Amino acid sequence: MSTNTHDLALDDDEHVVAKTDELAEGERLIALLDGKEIGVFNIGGELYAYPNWCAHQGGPLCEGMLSGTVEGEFDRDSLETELEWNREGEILSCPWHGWEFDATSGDCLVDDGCRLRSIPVRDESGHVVVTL
Amino acid sequence: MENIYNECIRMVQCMVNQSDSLAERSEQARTNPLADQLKEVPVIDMDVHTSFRHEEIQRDMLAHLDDPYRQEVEYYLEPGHSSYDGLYPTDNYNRDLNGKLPTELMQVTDSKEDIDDVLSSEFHVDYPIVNMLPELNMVRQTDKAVAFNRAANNVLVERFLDGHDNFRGLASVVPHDPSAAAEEVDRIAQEDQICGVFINSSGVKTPLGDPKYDPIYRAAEDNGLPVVYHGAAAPGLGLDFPIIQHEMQTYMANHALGHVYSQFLNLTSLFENGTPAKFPDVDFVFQEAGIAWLSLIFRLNREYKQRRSEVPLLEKTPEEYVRDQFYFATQPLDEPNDQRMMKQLIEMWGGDVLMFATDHPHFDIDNTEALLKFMGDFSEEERNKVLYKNSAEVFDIDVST
Repeated sequence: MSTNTHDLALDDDEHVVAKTDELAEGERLIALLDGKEIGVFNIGGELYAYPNWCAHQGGPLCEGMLSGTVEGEFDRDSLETELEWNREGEILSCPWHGWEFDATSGDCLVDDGCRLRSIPVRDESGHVVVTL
Repeated sequence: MENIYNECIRMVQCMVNQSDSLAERSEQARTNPLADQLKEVPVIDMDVHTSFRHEEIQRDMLAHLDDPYRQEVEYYLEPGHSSYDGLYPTDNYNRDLNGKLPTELMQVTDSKEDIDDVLSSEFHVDYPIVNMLPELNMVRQTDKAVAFNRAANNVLVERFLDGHDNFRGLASVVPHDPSAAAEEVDRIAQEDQICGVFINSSGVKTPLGDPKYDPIYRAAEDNGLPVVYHGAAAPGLGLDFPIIQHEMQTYMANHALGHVYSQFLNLTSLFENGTPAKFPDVDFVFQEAGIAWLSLIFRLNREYKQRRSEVPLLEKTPEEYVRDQFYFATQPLDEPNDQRMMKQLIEMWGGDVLMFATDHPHFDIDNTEALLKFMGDFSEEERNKVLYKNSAEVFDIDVST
């Protein structure tokens, strides 16, 4: 933990998990806070945090591959389907069963009834602060 | 005529597995409160066959075929030709159980005597939806398959539908040339009583969700017609699943597996290719595999959730598409030993997706009352959806007349 963190006025439920410059764009870390594993992501310069727990069967979701996904467009006149690789770096896939989540919103791409719980995370004075 | 009547009697006897007469049987039906209810309900039977290879129907075909195929049928109709084995592909299976259980409980060549009289009196059916079941998928020449299929559709309209206002028909297509099939859909859809597109599920070679078939789905959607998949242990099953045909010993095994295997294949293909998402106004209807096989939908849910990026046209789970756009004939009713389980199966899908069907005149025919037995404590609305409302909506039948 950074030696500067005591300069921050943090509440009991706020935790510094890294220096901001230690979590570069496209990087992630898994922090153990109050006995809970929390995945913290820097995607395009924005910070996101979610429980490291997949709503499907409890897999370590935040350890899964962060990449893009395939989207398709069907043209009814030509009957052609065009596939595109989109959203590179934003789609998190659970390492157990591959369920896809939008890591920038927490939305699940395969099950409307399932959504990641967003955990507040911010950059404060060069530190990544998670609020549980 | 007397022969047909005797066959009716025999069919009913098969159904009830007892030797009481037709009159006694009707008496029994009247004592069944559910049967009373059926008098008020406009039952739709969405799976009724003709005896396509019957000589009378083949004679009708002549008027709708050009040479050389008219000449070919004429040749096979000449005395001395005991079968059409050279004319139509067969699978060489012995279905008739050593003569104990003929494939067809009666020959169906006449709408009134062979369909309406039988189904309305004994099965409470008010609106039969008839298909020719020409089984042409394995015809080798594309032009022959297309020509015979077109002729069969014409015979359906002229022989079975004209003059029978309560009848509807499913127009067949063959998979050989999807553009020709789409043209046939456009042509035959002009007939008022044609209410759907009919494809035999076995022997299609390429599974039916493949993009090459999209012209058929687009034509169905343009004409407001559902697409009906007829499960069958038919010619072509040996191509789809050669182990069944060549290594399994009995028709029992062939018949148990054939229908569900071919429906498994084609329904999965529809999801693999996103067909219901491509054609959101098409209804997809599956016949003749019962309903227990729908456990596949839950398996597809799981595969979809795991591998969505392989099927990116799908915008929701397979089950959601099924409950919106898919329908399944109840026939042949599955037979768990504990009948409560059958009720649970019906409950699982119920009014969302099920449609009553008899499969008249085939040997695994279902009676309306046999289905209703499981739905005694369902709501009237739920029962009616299965007995006619789903079919009325999908096949656009006005049952108020």
